[in-house]
Amino acid sequence: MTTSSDAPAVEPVTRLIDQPRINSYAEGARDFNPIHLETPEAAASQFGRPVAHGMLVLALLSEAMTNTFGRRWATGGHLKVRWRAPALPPVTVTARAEPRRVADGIASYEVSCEDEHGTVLLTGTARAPID
Amino acid sequence: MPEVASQMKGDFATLERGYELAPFEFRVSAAEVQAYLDATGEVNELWDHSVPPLALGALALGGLMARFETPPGLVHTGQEFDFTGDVAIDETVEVRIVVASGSERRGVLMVVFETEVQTADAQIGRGRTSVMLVPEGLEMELS
Repeated sequence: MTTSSDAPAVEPVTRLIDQPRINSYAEGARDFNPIHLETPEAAASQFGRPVAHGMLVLALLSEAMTNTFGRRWATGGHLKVRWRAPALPPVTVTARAEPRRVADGIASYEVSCEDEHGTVLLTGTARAPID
Repeated sequence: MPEVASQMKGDFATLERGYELAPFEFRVSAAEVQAYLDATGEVNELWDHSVPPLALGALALGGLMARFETPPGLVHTGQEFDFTGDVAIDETVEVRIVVASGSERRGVLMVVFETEVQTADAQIGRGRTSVMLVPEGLEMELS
């Protein structure tokens, strides 16, 4: 196994997630779980309001990886995450991937998404082929 | 897009390890890709001709959720994806989902689904989805 620490840098992606974006995402992803929408179910939840889709938050991370790896992300990428806190709109989310190492042509990252207050929304790992 | 199953929807509480959902197929049009990108805010010409891998994951997940009643307290806690191939716009993909594990602790139900997505030619992705069903009245931290 060959290793090095020069995994390509991944530029963070920052985006506002507000209720109109969540509503659009529900349509685009066909996920109409009422906890994400302005519904009685969301109001009655433990958060008392809608929560952004976890996959919408994760989409920012996939976008960041795509920006660095292009098609290699779609044909050889790996993601493993856990959600740590709900994203309550309106919230500005930043997705980051911190390089860890390259081994056998695969770059590894620690990934996270945070809100504008520094609350960690998700954490995990990502891998992508560098050539 | 995944069809919503017309038959009676499943119940998370009765799922057992090894249970396999009926496979389903979908295709994603250029307009649907654009709707997804507009929603997420991503702009990338890579997706002029192929489907973003996370869009496929989201639609497969949507197909899964469409086959169950969505009870209050259902939380998506974890997700794993391996992307192994491109999917062209309008190409048909088949989704197979099996229950990898199901457990209950202190009234909280945890279920893991394993998903395979393939075209006519090849497997193009795998996923592992963890969900938690928290009983009403019980607050649960994600971390």
